[in-house]
Amino acid sequence: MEERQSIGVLSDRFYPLARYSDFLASDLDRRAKRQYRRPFASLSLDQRTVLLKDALASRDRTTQRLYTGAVFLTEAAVYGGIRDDRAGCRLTGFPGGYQLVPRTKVDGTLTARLSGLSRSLDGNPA
Amino acid sequence: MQTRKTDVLVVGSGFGAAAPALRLAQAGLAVTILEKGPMVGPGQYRQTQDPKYLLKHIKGLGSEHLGLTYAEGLGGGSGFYEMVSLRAPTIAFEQQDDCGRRLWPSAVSRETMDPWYDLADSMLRVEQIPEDQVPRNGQIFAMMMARLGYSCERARYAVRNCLGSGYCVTGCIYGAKQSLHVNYLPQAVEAGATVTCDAEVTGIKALKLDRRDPSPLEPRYRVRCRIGGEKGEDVEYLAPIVVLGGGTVGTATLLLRSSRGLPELSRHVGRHIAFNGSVKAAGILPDDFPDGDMYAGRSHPGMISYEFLESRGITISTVKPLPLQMMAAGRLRLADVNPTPEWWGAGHVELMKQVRHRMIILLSLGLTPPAGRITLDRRGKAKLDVEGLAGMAEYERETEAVLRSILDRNGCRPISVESVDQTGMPHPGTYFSTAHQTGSCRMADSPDLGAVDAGGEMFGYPGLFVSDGAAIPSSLAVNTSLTILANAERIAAGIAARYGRVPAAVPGGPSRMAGKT
Ligand SMILES: Cc1cc2nc3c(=O)[nH]c(=O)nc-3n(C[C@H](O)[C@H](O)[C@H](O)COP(=O)(O)OP(=O)(O)OC[C@H]3O[C@@H](n4cnc5c(N)ncnc54)[C@H](O)[C@@H]3O)c2cc1C
Ligand code: SF4
Repeated sequence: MEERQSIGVLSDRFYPLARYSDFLASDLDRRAKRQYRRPFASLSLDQRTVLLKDALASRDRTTQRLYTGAVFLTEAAVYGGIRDDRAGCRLTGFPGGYQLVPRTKVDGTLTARLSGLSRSLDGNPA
Repeated sequence: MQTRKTDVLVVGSGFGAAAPALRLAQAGLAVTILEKGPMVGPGQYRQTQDPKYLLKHIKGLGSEHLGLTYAEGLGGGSGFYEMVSLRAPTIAFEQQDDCGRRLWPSAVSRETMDPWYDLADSMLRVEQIPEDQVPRNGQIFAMMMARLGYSCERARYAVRNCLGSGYCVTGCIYGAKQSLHVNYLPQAVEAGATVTCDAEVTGIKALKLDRRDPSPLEPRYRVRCRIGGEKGEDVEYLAPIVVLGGGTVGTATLLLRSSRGLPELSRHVGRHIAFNGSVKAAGILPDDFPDGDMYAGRSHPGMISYEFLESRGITISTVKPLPLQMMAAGRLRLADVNPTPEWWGAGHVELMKQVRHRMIILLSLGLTPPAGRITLDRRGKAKLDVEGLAGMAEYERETEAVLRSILDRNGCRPISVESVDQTGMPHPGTYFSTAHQTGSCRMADSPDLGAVDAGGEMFGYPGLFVSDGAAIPSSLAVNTSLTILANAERIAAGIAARYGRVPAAVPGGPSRMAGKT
């Protein structure tokens, strides 16, 4: 589900990054072949992480910015469930939209008397 | 180009615009409201994290050290705000500039504002949140403050029958939020005002009046507007009274763009932007605290502390951002792990898993000095700068230390938050982000101190008023909307007393103050 959220976001023309998605894909492959002699898609999670770390720390400011933007957008897609209002994110328990939690689970259950802490008459500052 | 006439042209439809629109329509004047943003309300809102929807309505103006957020759409910020409706503290009105001069005009204080706050409260049906509706994160915050012997208040909100869906900042689909769509705007229309959305006011020109002693309702301004977006139609309005309610950013931008038509425009326009110096600190709750819930219950978690208001000029509360808000705000990392963990990828997932139930984020709003400035670039686009950053960096450090100390003494694991820009790149050095910007056309006792007088009228331009956040001369240390609305009511009463055709009937309103500042 989370992968489905992230797939496609980098080539979605709404985001300026889409113009660079081909470059990013070929650059990742180039980096993978240089370091592991294999295409990026066949690498393990750890190997991919190493490559991305290198790219994010690149001395070339443009490369660094492009990779930062790509990681930022992918994370937003996964954690925010941005491509489907109801999807949420299973990894983190973000429930997504249009789902009401029963009132009793939402609030009012932890401390019986919050007013004891109060020094203002009505919640406004003096 | 079509030319239309109206008595009152109101720019925008947010808090600062809605009150004058209603009161002047009630005073028998023909009122035209022009709103740049789209027609949006409970029927159009979505519970979503989709940037395509959010960026259509929520806009930003940023610089290296300051980011301002605001909404564009029918109702302005009221559709997307968190409904926190608090009066500014007395000390906010008493702030002074470097030369010891009061930032607010001498006639405006908490005491003189209270009747207008009463009116704003009754229009928005503001109430203190009942104990049994305080979201879990608000209760946890209260527990933290109680453990340290600090006071904490149930805050006040403009809401009825809230279902606790947690999506206040994307618009309330249940109609529970008492946004301007359910009070001021429909009442203004009922009183005869017209509202046009997708209608951006692009320029204002002062007219040369033929007669020495023109009648009060003789047109003084030619206002240009683009209706229907970029490819839309240009329309011109002639009006004796123009009320600017485009928000701190929108009003300053419009005025700066109109400088040719308003040659005596105050040099204070665009300057002195106050931004409530918001500082955040985050932590993971220790085991002896119960679970919170970042995603259930209203967006603002219900509690606020005034414990440090007198001593440090700050209020403290906790925030409950949705995932995208949180990611847009900054990179989160556990701060007590060596080497410093990544802000992304597999190594980051464990922290993200704790966000919902175990993370607490403290937020302080403070009485920071007005230091932001809007200018226009060569293409006429608004640009933002900050003046006097040195003091700000110190304020940020000291305030963060207060928040951190509250978290530490409650046994929380520290999380570092590195703020980022829209592309995910970190901001170097001090950075403030806020939705509480005020003051780009501030009220003052004289033209050498501000852009408009205490009644909101532009110095040198009779009939041209500023009634929104732009007129508010200082940070407030609390959320801004109620003060903007109360001040707009005050300004509207002054305009109505001067120009109204019939005495305005303000239900339960402070009639004794009408016409006074
Ligand atoms: C997400 C979010 C949450 C917030 N939560 C709270 C909260 O809980 N409590 C609180 O007190 N405050 C809150 N705020 C802040 C509050 O919303 C603002 O202080 C308030 O809306 C400002 O009121 P205003 O009248 O100055 O301008 P706005 O409400 O911003 O209204 C200005 C309107 O003018 C329109 N406009 C601008 N330029 C033009 C033009 N040239 N022509 C025509 N129309 C124009 C804009 O489209 C906009 O609709 C929040 C803000 C945001 C963004
Ligand atoms: S939390 Fe309450 S006010 Fe906010 S969107 Fe949900 S129902 Fe509306």
